[in-house]
Amino acid sequence: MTETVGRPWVRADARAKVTGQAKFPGDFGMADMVHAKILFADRPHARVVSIDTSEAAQVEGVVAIFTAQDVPVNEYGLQTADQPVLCGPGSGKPGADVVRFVGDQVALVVADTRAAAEQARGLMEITYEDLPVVSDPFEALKPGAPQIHPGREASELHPELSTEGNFICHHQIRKGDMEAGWAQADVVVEGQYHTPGQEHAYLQPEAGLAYIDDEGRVAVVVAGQWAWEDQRQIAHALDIPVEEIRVIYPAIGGAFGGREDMSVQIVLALAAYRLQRPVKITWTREESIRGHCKRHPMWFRCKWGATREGELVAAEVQVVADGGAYCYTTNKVLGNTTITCTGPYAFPNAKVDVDGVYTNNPPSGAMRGFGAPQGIFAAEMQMNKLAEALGMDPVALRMRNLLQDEMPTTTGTPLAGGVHLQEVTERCALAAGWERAEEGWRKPAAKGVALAGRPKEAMRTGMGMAVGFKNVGFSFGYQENCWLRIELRGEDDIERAIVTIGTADVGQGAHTVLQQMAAEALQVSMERVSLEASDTGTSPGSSGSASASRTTFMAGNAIREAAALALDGWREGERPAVVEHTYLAPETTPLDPDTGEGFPNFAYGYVAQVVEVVVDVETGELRVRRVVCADDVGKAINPEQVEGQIEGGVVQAMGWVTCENFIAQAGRVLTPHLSTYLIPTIADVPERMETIIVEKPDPRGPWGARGMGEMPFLPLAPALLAAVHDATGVWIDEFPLTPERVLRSLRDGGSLLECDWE
Amino acid sequence: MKDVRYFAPTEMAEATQLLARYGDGAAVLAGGTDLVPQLNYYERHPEAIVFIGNLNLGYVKEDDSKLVIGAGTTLAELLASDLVVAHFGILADAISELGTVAIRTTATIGGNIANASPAADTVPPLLVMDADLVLVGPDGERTVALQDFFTGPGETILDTGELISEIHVPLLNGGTSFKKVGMRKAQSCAIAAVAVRIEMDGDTCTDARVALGSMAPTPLRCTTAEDLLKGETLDADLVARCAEAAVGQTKPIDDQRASAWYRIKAGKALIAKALSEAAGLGM
Repeated sequence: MTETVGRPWVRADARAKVTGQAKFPGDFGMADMVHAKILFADRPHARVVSIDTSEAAQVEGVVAIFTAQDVPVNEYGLQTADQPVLCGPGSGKPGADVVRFVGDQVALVVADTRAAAEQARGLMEITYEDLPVVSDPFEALKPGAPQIHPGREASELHPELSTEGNFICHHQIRKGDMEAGWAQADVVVEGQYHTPGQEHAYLQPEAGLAYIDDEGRVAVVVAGQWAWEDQRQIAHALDIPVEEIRVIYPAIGGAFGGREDMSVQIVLALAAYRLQRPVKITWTREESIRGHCKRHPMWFRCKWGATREGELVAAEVQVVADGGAYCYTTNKVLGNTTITCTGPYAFPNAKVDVDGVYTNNPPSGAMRGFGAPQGIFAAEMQMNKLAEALGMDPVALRMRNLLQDEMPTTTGTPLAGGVHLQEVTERCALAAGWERAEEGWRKPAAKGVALAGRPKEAMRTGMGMAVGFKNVGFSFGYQENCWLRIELRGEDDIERAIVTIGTADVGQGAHTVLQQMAAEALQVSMERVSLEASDTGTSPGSSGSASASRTTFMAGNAIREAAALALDGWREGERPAVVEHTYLAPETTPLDPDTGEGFPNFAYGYVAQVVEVVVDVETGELRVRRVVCADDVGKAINPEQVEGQIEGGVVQAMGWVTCENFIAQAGRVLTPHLSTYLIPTIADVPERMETIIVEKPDPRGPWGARGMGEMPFLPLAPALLAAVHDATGVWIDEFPLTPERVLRSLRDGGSLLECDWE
Repeated sequence: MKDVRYFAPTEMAEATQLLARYGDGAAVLAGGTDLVPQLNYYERHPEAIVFIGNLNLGYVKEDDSKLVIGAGTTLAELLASDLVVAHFGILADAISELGTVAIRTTATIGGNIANASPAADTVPPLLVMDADLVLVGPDGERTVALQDFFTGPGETILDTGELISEIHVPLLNGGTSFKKVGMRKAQSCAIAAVAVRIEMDGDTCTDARVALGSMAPTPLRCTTAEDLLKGETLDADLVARCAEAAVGQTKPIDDQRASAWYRIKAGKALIAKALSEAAGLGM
């Protein structure tokens, strides 16, 4: 009847955001509100010996100063509670008196005005005993290295978490017979790679308002990605039942994984709970950049072998990831790196070792792609180098080796939900100008370029390609789930359908897509569907995180199942017809700790990209001329939003590869502003961006949809580096491609990447 | 937090007296694009802020074969000025790559000069046009050559109480070119910047100016390169020697954005590109 799915509905929040009416966490205020400022450690590793608040407390308008001794259970963490809420003595939690990175929180100063809070914060007297700093993961693994979290205990829930030295976690794969694999290999390519950290740089810095709501709960208005996890961690630290905490997400100004972990939530709740007054906080951009996690920097050592016909026979990959000061989601992120670092290929023999390491750097955590962009980078660099070594076209080499339905991955099981890697590769290559001739695939010849004022011979053009895949959802044995409630009101017809769900719209447009799917499932018009979302006070069940490309898949299936049940009730005369339902995703298994065997995920997305660059070989500057992206999304529930996600993902990945340069030296952040941490401007985006939406349905996806939010990020880095190689003849194995790095690599004939591998 | 006095004088004499009275404790506020971040990041703690936006210093006029630019003219106004585009295209080129529309709308040319950043984008073009500055202080005004104005990063010859009131740019002949390399294509602090002006008689260079930004503690005139050019036939070899000579005069530093090694390499490449473009060579 309505066919709301598959149409480019205007986003539900578009008008409010364009006109400035939308309320973000920093826009809320209440009468009798007080203001909080956090005192950050601003040093990478130290013991807090004492805290003297006496002078700060004298400042006119100061209401309270909270330190470690005020936190009932002074610990938190998404995967393991290894981080103090407030670092300092007196909380009874062992190790909570140690700050482990510059963004650790030491005190919360609350005052009548922001200025007074800020002034008092400056008068806090903290006596530190500095501890030795380790900021290089390779150094952190050496005997005698400073220990970041000594004496931690094993986790039953997450057996991959290590208790040894500075290891956060370990994953490994042992498949086939490596000796036999190398014996079959005619060509072996070895490479070392480094991928840098990345700042999320969302528009809205962390902010929030906590107050006691009319049912006596501590309500926290904040931007996050998973309200129930926020609620659980706040309740744990405050040592009060979860029902007494309410987390509300208003409009959220971007997340990209950076709001997966706590920032202001716990201290705000603590202050409001203790003071029984509304408390507000707004981070500056500098506090945001210093205070939240980054993408994991990783180092790779790869050795891949193929027959001279181009059949992949063996891959050995070793990965070290800098997890920073706390675990955050490192174990989960590295699970994805483990399964993606050999690429989307059918290797009969594989040996993979992945280690996460504690250092005194800012914690590494979730960021768009969640470990896959790093893994795909190393894999696709290897693949493009193999194509060169074999004298094969990079598309031809891929078409021969890409995973297909029923083919086992390195974990021994096939990818779930239909494998369409060949389709995206083919569609992308053809659109970019590849020819499929009788003798095989043929790359188009590079076209010259003339730029005003630039001598032609200095400007080199090149084209490169790469393919990516990533799982939908966290899984690896975790039972993915999504709760929601549907209420159908009316008499003869459904006049109003109220969908209550926890899922966060972090700016990706999820709520519009949920509304579309609900309208479709209930066969009512869009106007009759209203969404009540992102409030633990109205949604008793968890709808899961708005991350891991999981929202459309999980919430869509929940909607479909609940709608069918609600319509049954409606037909039987229930008025209103009400259904509460939890959708459970297909079961998965963790990876076997010795072999890596398992069925880690229930769904995947697939993507291929071709990138064209122009490199000025005299200055090292480069420009991305064109990006072609073919993305199998299963079904585009809202094609315009899909296109927006693809373009956004491409630009964010391009920033990671080109101009974004997060610098921490000995644990200190040297790029804490957007004037020193440079993200792409409109002048930097690719001159041409062509998106190809491939719709190969996932039989278990809602209307066939797969997750897609992270996929466009995945192949951009290796495709761009392949284009630079095509233009200059030089492989650069690390980035960002600052003009200097490009010029140095041209001088040296490549990257001189040296790591201290054992 | 100590209180800061704020003044918005409407008379030049009042402004210079305020600046003299507060001395080192005074901060001049024009567009605020340099000062406000310094205040926000607690890098500067002035006793008094003197806003000079009410002194009517925003204008561009042609006067006796020179352009007279009020120091309070915003970069956006300069970009929109027919006089600037007609007579001083290289300045428009530099401004078009400087900051963002928002920054250019409030930032002033006097501020860009007085802030004395080695990376100030308007300065190399002004240097190759032999610009002079009119400085006004409590005891009157004086005119100085821009090339004598800078003494170090953030440091100038401005005396206590003095501010820049006007920039005088002679209407000179010759082809010009501005080149800059940064970490991204817009809103990016220069890693290296080059401005050149070259007057040709056939294949022979009759006069030349070469100026560099971000290559030394101050923006720099490269007189050794200029001397090499004068009276010589311009070819690829001479361009290369000039580039070499120019960077030989510099003292670039290693910083977060680039090393001295890179600045010298890129500086040379930019000089060669700029000279070729300004002279109309197809190199």
